[in-house]
Amino acid sequence: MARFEVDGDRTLVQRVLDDGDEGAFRQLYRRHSPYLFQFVLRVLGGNETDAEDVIQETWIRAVEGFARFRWEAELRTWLGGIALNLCRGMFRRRDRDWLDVASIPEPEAPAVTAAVESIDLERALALLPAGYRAVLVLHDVEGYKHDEIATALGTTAGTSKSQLHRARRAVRRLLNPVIDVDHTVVDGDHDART
Amino acid sequence: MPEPDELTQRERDEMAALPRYREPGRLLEERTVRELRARGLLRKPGVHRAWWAAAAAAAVALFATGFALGQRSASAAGVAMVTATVESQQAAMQAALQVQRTGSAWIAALTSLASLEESGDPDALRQGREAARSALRAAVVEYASMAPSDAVASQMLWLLSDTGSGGTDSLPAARQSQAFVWF
Repeated sequence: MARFEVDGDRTLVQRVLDDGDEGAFRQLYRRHSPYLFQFVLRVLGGNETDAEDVIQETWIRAVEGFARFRWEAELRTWLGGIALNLCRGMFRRRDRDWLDVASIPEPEAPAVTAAVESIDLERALALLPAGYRAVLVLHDVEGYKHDEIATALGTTAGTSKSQLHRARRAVRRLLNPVIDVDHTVVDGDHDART
Repeated sequence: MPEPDELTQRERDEMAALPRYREPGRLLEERTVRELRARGLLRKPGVHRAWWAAAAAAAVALFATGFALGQRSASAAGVAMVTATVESQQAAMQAALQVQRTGSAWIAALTSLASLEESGDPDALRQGREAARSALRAAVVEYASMAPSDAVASQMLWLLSDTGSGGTDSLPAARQSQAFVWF
């Protein structure tokens, strides 16, 4: 991120802290929310209502915690961490074992015909189980390392690696279903992509 | 340790091509700001500036009124109305207390203006200064009308009118001898 933008963040955060400056907050919101929204939307599998709830709560927690933020990371990274933690809480409320490798069934390839033989990557990510999707998005899209994923999701680096392996396999299956002569989708290995 | 199944170059490109930004709904910003306001974490910007300007103006007006009242109390000028007001010792004490209170308010107003200056908001600063100057001018006019021959009042009026017109140079010789006639 450009230096002036970091300095701008600092100044705006200070104005929010000192004066409750709504204008400064709106600048921060408009600067970082598009990234946060896309990130959260992807982690949550495309549920816009949930994503908006997470974004709102992220900003509330951020403003409440501005005084504790030490600027050792970029503001956007810190905000992303808050948002991810909220997503994790949301997943856990729905399924305690959302990150348990053993308990997550691999997704079935969608029923498609030869006329519609593939789906795009975004759709494939949305079809993944939450645990697979979170790890794959963080690692392959956002560039997190396994130990960072482990910290962010409250798991181990080993679990993160296992999830990533399964997630990639599932995505490949979703993206390239093998269609037999009767237009029945079957799973297949895709050497060209592995 | 290498990944068990590395991404192909094509897969990497597809991942990199995924959009990184998406605007949330416009209503979300308003919803978030409203919630932050409700929790006392944000203040409306318009209210903020107007509040400080009004506070500064009110403090200046209060000070000027107290100042005028104090002058009237302390003065032995023979204006009947003034004499009637300050006849008793109690009235003089009350006037002195009023001056003291308005003095404190004046200090608070100056602090407010100083904080506006630090905030770097030129509009708010200009509004605050304008309001303060107007209130002070009104109070001095009132005071001078009660004591038209008072040299201090004349000087203050000249100073305020000169500042208002933007001039800050020393008093021209012609104006030094100008006699003020009020009413």
